[in-house]
Amino acid sequence: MDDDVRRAIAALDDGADPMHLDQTPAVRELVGMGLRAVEPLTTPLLADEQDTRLHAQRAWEGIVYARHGFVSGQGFPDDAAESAAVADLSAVGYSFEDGRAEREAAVRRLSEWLARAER
Amino acid sequence: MHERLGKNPERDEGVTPAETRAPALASSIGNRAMTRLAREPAPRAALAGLASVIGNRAMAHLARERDRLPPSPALALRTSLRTAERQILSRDLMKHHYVWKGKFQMNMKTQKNPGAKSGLMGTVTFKPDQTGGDSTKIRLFQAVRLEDLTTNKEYVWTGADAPRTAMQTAADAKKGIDPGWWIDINPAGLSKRTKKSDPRISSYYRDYWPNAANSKDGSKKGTSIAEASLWDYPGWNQNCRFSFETVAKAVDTGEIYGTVQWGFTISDAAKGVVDNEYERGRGGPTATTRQALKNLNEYYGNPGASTAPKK
Repeated sequence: MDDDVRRAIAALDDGADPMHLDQTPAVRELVGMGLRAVEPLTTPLLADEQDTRLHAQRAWEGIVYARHGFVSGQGFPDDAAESAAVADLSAVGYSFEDGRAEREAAVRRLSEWLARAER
Repeated sequence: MHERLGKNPERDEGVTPAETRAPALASSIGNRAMTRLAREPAPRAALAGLASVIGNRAMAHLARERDRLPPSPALALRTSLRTAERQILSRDLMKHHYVWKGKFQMNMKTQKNPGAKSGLMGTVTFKPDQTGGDSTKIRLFQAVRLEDLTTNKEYVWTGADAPRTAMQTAADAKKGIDPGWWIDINPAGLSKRTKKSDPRISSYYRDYWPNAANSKDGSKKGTSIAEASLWDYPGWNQNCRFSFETVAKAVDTGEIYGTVQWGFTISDAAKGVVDNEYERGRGGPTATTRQALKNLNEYYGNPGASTAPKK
């Protein structure tokens, strides 16, 4: 794991936006790092703390959005791009609110998704 | 538009869950009325009359409480109503609200975390009705305010979030504008437009936080209707007050379908106390929300604003 990814993961819960507690500066950093941040996110995706899982989910989702052309303040380039992003998210099916078994299964699917995305 | 709704408060404010009417009744009829109720020669008939006022669910709640209470009808009724009042001190926002051209459904659940961050988490959903115009894209934006109750001033945004403070409305009593409101956007990474060809800075919530697994944009074509929604999670670990007005708008035609105002207070963050929650529908945005939208456009130099680049 790169040092900058490690630092961002360690700071994942710090400085949450009061208007959007699911968003932290580290979430934004990890989104900017792209695919190399996905595998390291699997640990916080399985964390005991709900907010940590939520922040990790937002980071993973942001990486997917960006891969489909999403730009903050502009949105997705078109409906097809958003549909493609939703398809990726649905294929993994992770939710921070799910039980541990469901989350573990989703993280396995995430690893498979990552392998396909990196090809 | 607002006057039309004002003449029909049932439609304006939506259906009130029965449970919330019980404490309202208690506070409205007062102790004297409660005493009269207790003296009522046919208390069962009096209680039956209550059903039409507070609803069946609240009546069922009263009945359950009566089974656990002393035999005095007055004491039983008064205590049970007080119990209901305590239960809604921290409540979810879950009502629906009929507005100008559709219906908002709130699904914001309280997150109570003593000593940590408390707030509300969930979705706000809008469904247009047949009276609304067709649109290929119906989206939500919202004006927001965050008051720091420790200082009794607006929360001051700094760093990348500083534009939130810069865009806030200034109080103008003549125009009915309240202070401290801005359009809920993520300013990080945004720049003011310097060229005519620069893209418009969006006011729509999902252009910053798509939360695509839990929310979506809507549309309407005749009887084919798709809901628009957003997912939100405001909260803090300090005493504060959050206020929102969420607006449903057709992107292509500019038509406003209605708004929902909602909010809550974190009155004792150390104990995770979330209270003073409210939610109500409106026909159209307040002057404050309209000004907040104007401020966003002026701040970023969006097309049509006085600050928009000419070249």
